[in-house]
Amino acid sequence: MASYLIRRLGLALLVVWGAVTIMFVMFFVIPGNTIDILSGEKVVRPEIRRTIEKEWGLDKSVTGQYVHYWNRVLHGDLGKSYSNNRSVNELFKQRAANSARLAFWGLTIEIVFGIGIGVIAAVRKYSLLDVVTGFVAVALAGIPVFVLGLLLQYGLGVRPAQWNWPRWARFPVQGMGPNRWFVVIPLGHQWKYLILPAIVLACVQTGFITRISRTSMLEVLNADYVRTARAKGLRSSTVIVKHALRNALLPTLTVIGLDVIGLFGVAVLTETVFNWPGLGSTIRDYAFAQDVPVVLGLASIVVLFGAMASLLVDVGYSILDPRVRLTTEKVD
Amino acid sequence: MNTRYLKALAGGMLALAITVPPATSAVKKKKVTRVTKATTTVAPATTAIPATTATPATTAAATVTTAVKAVAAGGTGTKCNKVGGTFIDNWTLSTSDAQHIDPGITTELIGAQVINAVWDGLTRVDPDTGNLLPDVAESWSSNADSTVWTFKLKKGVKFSNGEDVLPSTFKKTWERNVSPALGSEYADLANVIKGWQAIQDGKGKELAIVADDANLTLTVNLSSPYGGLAQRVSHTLFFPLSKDGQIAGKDYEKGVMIGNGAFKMDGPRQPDLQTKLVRNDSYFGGINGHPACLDTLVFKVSKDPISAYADFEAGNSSNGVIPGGKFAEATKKYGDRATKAVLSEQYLGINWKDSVVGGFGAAKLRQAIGAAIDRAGINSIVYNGSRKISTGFTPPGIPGYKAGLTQNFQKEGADPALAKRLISEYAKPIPKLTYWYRTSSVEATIAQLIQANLKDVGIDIDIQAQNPTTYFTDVRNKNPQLFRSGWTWDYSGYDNGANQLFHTTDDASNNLTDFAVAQYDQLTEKGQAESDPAKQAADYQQAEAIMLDQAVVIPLVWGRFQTVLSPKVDQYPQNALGFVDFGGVSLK
Repeated sequence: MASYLIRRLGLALLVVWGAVTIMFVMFFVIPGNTIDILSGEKVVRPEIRRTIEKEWGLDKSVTGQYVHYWNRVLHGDLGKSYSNNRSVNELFKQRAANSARLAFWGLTIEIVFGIGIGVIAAVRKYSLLDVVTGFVAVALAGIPVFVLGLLLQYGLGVRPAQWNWPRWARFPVQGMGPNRWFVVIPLGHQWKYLILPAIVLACVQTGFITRISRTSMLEVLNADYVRTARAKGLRSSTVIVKHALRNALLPTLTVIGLDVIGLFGVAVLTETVFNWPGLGSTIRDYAFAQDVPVVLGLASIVVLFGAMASLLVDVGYSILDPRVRLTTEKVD
Repeated sequence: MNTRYLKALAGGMLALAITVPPATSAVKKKKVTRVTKATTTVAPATTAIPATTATPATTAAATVTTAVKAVAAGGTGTKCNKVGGTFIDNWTLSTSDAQHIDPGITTELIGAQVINAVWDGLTRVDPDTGNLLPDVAESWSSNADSTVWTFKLKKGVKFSNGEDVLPSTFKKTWERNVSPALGSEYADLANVIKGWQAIQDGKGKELAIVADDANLTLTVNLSSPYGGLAQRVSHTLFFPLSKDGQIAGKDYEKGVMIGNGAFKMDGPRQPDLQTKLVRNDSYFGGINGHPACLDTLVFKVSKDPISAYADFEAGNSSNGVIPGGKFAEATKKYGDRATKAVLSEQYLGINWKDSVVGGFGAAKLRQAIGAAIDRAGINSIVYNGSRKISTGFTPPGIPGYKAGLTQNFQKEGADPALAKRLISEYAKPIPKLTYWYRTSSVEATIAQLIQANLKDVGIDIDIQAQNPTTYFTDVRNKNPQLFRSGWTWDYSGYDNGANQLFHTTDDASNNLTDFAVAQYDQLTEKGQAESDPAKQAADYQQAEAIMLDQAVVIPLVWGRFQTVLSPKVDQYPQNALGFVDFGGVSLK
């Protein structure tokens, strides 16, 4: 187990290094000169150009800049934004918490509703409930995020306001609100600002998870050991929860594991539509401006997070299914 | 003002809404100022300069007196029908947060909007008339050849922390803002002041300004004659900073900055969320002659104009941006109180030095291109009919503006017959031309419309989307035959627009067309040095007529604000540069 984890950790770090290196190289390949970006495209006199190059370490070769970059990163300094001089470390601290909270609630909705509805649909196969949930799941998975976002904004925010519904029945359509939290738990009215973006963030994947959970559950429910469990006279709920669900969750866990990365680091559209200042929309904004330090700094952390999430999924497999052994030993 | 990059949501979102947010003005390029090469000996005698350039017939002394009296009597601006309340602005930052809100560094209209609420400069543009008003300055004058300017400051002007705003405050602030260490993109706006070049070269630290705090006079010595200094100092670069700001670097804006304007910062701004301001009770009154009507002013940040509009519709903001394609609907629902003209121009540039489309010999071809383009169609399809078709370059509202400077571009729709006649008179084969645009859905639509228009008269163009981040540098260096660009005036002066964009020795390289005509240069130089507004306007008009006759640009549309106001808003003064006079904004 330990050697497996060490090996996987090493692999994860290798992935991070590779991803950052590719991004670093790409910024030198795509058109655009850093000085032009820094100077707002104004013609810069040579002496000013030299000053800027020295200040930002651009007077070094590409290799030199690459080494300098890693040297900084390994000392915990992600650099400063070219465009507005903001510290990338500070930017990360501000944005990561916002992203994590939104991702947590998005994921919670996905898991609770996705798995819950999937299991019920499987247990009540071909019932009206199964048909309706199947239809809704496909629809949710197919609606573009920004369309769903705008629909919810108008349906639960704009129209209630125009129809003079009471305040408690209206949802804010933008922003973070009071920004009051206990870790990930919204305090006061914070939940009203959270709920719409969390629903939108969760919707697409909830549809997928519902379908995957249903399919996996149907397979498991037909397995011999489930029949045996039923034959032993166990209660139906015990059979479903203790015997079937645990095994049916394996493929779902894979999807959820991959989704964590998407929810945390690249929820660009949801964050943009609801003006939720998270990592995804921030990376997008700075990428448009070719602001290398910010994009590299934040994207590196997202990649690192993704690699760690992937590792945790593998560990989760072994917990759910003891037959899966996290070992490097050869099995004859 | 600098163009915000045309930020797009991924693919489908763009298809949903062609949006031109307030700070975007399609494709817009930052500019700076050309220094006239001529030098003149400073004359000892001084001549009073009118406080307004929009009334050239008025005598200088009389105009200054009028302005000062008006302020003394309670201001020329808006009175408060009601005091109090919170104004939530979801128009200014409806596509992104401002990169900077430091007056010395900002390059965007959106940042300057916040700055204008927190600071007052020496002069300010009247929201109603477009005339120049005294702000911190009580009056100003220059010598005969406009090389020495003297500003007399009002007594008792203070920062919100109680610090006095004195002539030396301006001198020190300007020196901070033009220092290479700060790296302000707008530092060139001060290049007419003596000592500026030495500072840039690292050979000096002071501008040639005499600050007499005892008599409240600020005497500015210029390196060459310049008649528009009073207009130029209305720009944010020339706003006063308190003592801590005068010595601060780029990080100053991360904390609470101290201003002398109608509002003060309530705390450090919350990047990408909001900037909250509260009334500055020690405000000297500015152009309105009274403290701000509002208690609180919040600049809310959005990242998508469609959701910003939804937020407005939900009653969560006092103003909002009209997303593309919704102009007619929004103005029908909420009125058009806040959709006045803005001093900006969208145009198609043509490279003067190109072997096919450039030079005097290709004038007919360029005029044919202009005649073939259906500008009314572009306005209708791209801007939902909200813009005014340009019949020249300089927009109405700029002091000295004159309609009908050229016979070209007077027809709003396409004139294929005229275009074909001009092409036949050109009498040369026309190869396929290259057209560049800055990647965005708006620009792609304009490009396709122009391509279809030109094809109708037998001109083929290859439309090419370009990297938005490096677009202007690439246009400058690679000289495409046809390219899209735009311009928003930084201050209400004729010299800031057309005449700085087409001068041969444009130091800031805003002359993207590479236009180089000696007569044009001479006229603009003469106009820049002229202190009589009427004569100055005549020079600039002649110069612009030369440029327009040569059709080196095809003017498309003049700008218009895409703003809606809540019915709860009473007064909303906004000048044609785009700045809302928040000190005069009030709620019902």
